[in-house]
Amino acid sequence: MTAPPESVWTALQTLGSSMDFQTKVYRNETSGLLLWVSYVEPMVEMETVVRSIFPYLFHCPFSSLEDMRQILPIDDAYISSDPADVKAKLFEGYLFIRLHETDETGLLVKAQKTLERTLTIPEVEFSVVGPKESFIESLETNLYLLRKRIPIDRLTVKLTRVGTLSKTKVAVVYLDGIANPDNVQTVLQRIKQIEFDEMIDSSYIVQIISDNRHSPFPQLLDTERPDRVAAVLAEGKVAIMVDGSPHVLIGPTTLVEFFSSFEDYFLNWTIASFFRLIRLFSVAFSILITPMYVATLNYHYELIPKDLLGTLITSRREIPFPPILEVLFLELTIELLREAGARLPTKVGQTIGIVGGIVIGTASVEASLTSNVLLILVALAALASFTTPVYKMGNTIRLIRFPFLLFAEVWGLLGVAFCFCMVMTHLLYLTSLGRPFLAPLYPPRWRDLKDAFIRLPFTSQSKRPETLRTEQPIRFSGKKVRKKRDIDE
Amino acid sequence: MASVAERLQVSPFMTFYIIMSMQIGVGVLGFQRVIAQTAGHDAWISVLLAGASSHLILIVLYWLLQQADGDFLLLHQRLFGRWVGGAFSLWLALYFAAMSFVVLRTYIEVIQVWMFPDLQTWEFSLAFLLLCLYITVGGFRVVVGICFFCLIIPSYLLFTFWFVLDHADFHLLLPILDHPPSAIVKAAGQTTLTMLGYETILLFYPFIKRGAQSAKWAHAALLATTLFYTLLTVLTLAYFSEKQLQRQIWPTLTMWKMVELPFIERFEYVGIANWLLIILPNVCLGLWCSSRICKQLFPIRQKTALLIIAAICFFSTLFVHDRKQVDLINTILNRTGFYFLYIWIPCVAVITYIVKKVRGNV
Amino acid sequence: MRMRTALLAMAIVAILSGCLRKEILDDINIESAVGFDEAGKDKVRGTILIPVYKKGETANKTLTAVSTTAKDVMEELQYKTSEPLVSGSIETALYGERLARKGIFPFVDQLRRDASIGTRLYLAVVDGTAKHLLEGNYGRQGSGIYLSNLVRQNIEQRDLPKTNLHLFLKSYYADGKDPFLPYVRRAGEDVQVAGVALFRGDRVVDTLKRNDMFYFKIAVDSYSEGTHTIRLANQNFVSIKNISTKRTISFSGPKTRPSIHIHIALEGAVREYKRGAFTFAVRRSVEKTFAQQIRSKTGALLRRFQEHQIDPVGLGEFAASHYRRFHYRDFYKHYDQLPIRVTADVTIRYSGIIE
Repeated sequence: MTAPPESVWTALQTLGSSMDFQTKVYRNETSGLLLWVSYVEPMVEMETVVRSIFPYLFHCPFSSLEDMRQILPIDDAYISSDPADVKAKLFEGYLFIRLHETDETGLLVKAQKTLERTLTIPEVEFSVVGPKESFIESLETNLYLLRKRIPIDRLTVKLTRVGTLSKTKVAVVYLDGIANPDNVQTVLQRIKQIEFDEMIDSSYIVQIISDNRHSPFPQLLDTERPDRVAAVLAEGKVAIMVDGSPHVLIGPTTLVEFFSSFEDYFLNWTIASFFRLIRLFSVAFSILITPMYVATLNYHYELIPKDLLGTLITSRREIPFPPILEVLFLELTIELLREAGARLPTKVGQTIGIVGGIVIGTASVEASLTSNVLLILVALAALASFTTPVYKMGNTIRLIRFPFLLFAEVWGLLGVAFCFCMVMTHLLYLTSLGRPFLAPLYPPRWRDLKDAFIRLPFTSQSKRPETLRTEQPIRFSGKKVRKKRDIDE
Repeated sequence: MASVAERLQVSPFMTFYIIMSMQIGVGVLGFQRVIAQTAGHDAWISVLLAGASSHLILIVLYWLLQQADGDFLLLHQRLFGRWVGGAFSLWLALYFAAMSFVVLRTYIEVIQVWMFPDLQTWEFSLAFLLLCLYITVGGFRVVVGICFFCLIIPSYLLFTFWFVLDHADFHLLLPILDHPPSAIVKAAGQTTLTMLGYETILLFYPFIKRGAQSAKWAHAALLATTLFYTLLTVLTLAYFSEKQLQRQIWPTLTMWKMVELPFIERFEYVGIANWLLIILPNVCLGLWCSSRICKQLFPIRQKTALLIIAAICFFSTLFVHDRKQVDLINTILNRTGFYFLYIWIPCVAVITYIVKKVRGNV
Repeated sequence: MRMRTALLAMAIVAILSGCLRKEILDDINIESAVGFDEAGKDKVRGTILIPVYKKGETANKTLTAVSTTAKDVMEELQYKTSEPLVSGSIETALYGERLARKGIFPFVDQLRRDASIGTRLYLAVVDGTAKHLLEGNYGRQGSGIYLSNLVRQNIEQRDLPKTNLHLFLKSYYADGKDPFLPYVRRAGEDVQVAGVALFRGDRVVDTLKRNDMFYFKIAVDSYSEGTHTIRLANQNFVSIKNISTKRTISFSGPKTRPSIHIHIALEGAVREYKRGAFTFAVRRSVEKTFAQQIRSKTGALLRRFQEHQIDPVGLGEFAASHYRRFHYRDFYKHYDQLPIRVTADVTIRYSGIIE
């Protein structure tokens, strides 16, 4: 890190080496004063400058910087002589106006260019019902989206800058009086301690401040839906917003939240619970089915029902490889397809996906390189692994399958049980912002189970989750007494 | 001495899971045969008796813990002096280490006989102990998490016994109390091995928040275990004829051979694989208790003690080779546990009571 | 934290270094049935049935070997195959009648000791040789499945009482009960259940014909879905379906010489009656005739058991559950003279759609 420049003049000289830094001289018609206007061209909105600033600068009478400041219609204008401040503001799109070329003091006027994506629908967490707004890269717009959903004063925003090169604005948002102060403190402290140069995205922050960096399981939830963030802030969580990233981080989280899609809250609770259970089952299926295939075919033929035995044997008869190689071949093919499809432009990617999937699959069955039963299982498992609503967890699920496969190959069913214990122990160790990751399963919080595997109706969720240890556990008053009526009364 | 930081403690409700998962271990697979040999078709009454007596012993244990302010080893020290008390505590550490070792070796034998005859003892022993070390190094909270999950997840196995009902003749249990009471009581003593596990409360009591309130959960666990064992014994006695039962080394596993689910035949393989989850807390908690005693007796860190004890367990498993030796170590553990719980603990209680009367407090 | 990672890594390494003998599904010969016969003096012939899976119908293959003990026979058979024989999927075990009359326990014991064999498998005695029966080709899914389905279907819906390896051993080891097994016979391209083979210990001493099987089953087991045809006094036949039975055994008298009373409660339905209307009188007459037949035929069976000194119903066992300090020796000393009374209660309802 270089030492701060000694003066504004040297700062401007250093900046002058870039072609996009301009210093222009203008003359005020009325008073005849010369004005030196410096700015970084890409960051400045020239239209605002030409329309709102220059007319005043060139035609209104003033004799000092103070007058200038009062005349200009721009609110965010102030006089500064701090070189670091001037530099920072120049890069934010401010104009630096001086009366003489060698002046150390000047007026900083905001003329920032804001170019950003228009608000679009969420791509990753798309929902059929419910609002379809999603966060974009600008922190201001994101805060706007959030504030309009919680228009009260308790919504506190704490701003810091992270990254020596990128100076990214990071906002920690929480509801004062509801979120546990320990959680907030942990987040703020960890963010302050980040030492990084170019902070591009919120996922960088996740990887740096996570409790357990080496675990494949994500410990902070990331979302691009403002409604989801608003809902969890109301529960008592803390949100981290990063300028330049459309993904907002939420913590502390638990494992079960990674399997709940926000759409569950828009549907009737019975349907939502059903979908959640299906999701859980499909995850278990996805992780265990191919290892079970390997284990059963290698060691435990007695487990297979007699009617199925014939099918399996005939399907495997001509295949020269042992089951584990078959499975690895197919799993890797699916990974290849997925990676290739992700890299190619949309149209080509879709074709490759379909062609690859169908053609390779059918051809390998016909060439007797794999069995058709296994093809179905692997395809189903791959599909099932994509039912997790959170993208990061989907990746983890796909990864976890491989240790299970290895263990099943070596020790059969016993290996599967062993690997399960290992994964379970690993999950027991995980914490999210210091809170246990496996809550509400362990430590068991019975009240929180209402929103874990099934989702009970809103009327029974009048208390905030215990795991967050919020300051105000009651959300709204629970039941209203209804008058009991007899039949036909 | 007995106070532990609050962040390391668990809620009293967890006592239920710790004790129940510790009690249900390898003994469940084969205990019915031994007691049926002594008490015939009245063996289920022996199980009930053993369960009832365990409640009494648990009351004594809690009383001792109250007297000792949560630290049982301190009680040994206060009553018997530093060296003799330390010797008794060390013997207790050996006992817990032996418990881990016996459970592990017996399970390996089951795998070797039923599933993988060519599984090398050292392979499984090494891998399993490393997993247990991974768990125990995380501290008591992680161990309790394992106890919790390893009780809840395999609980579905209970439903598998439904399939066995078809072949059960309950009239084989009649007439009740047809055997002499001495036989029934003797068989109750033989069930001790399967009931063992709740003495670990002596070690983990300081880790329970509001320890005194955990008594009801501990008793609930004992009750649940007793009921489970009694029902299992009843089912076994109805399922097998007497002499047939004598020929089965692992009656529970043989019963599982009869279970047939729509997509899994021969359920006993699934059962044995699930059993790994059931014995995991047993071995972990045994290692944890043992190393904790060592930490309090010797100036070593608990991690070091843990490694040493795990290494000892590992090497011990290599020396036990066949059925007879496995039987022997199980019998030794059974007897040791019996003497500890039913003779040593009451003695200590009596001595404490006398000392309290004489000195005023311990 | 570093220790944890190291431990985890070590655990993984420890496991992956292990190597277990695999039995990959398509590289093994899966036995689906075995059979044992006499083969000369002190020798045994063992036959195993291996399904050959193909697309479409499954073919069958048998292998035979002769040796002195059952274990030796299995070893001999391993020499004859290119892929290892595994016995975990055996569903049926057959014993030739001549061998069964000499004692089958060594063979059953061998099945029991094998940890990979289940206890649900069916045992049967063959009228003829097991080898001859196993060499036939039955059914489309392979003879092994055919045989086990045959026995299962007869147990669930016809007149075979519940039986499998576990129940056989249970009766064999019980002091108060003798085992029995289905008695099968090959008839061309089919296998038929010809009756029930009764054992004393592990030897066959008697066989029941098919007509007697119904009256045997109601004494030994219970029906939940049976059918039986009885002949009425006036040469009419009535077919009674949906039979469910319950048997109660009670004792009275001293425990050394008890009087036994077996009571059968039977419920059934008549679906069609061709000779006119199924009036109340007709129903009463059917009920009475049926009860009478049960009394006489089951009673005759029980007397037959007494004469042969066998106890497949398990009267000794029931007596043991009734009396305190019961001794089987005293009971069986006078077994053939014990008074056994059979009574029956039959309830019929009419459930046809045409009156």
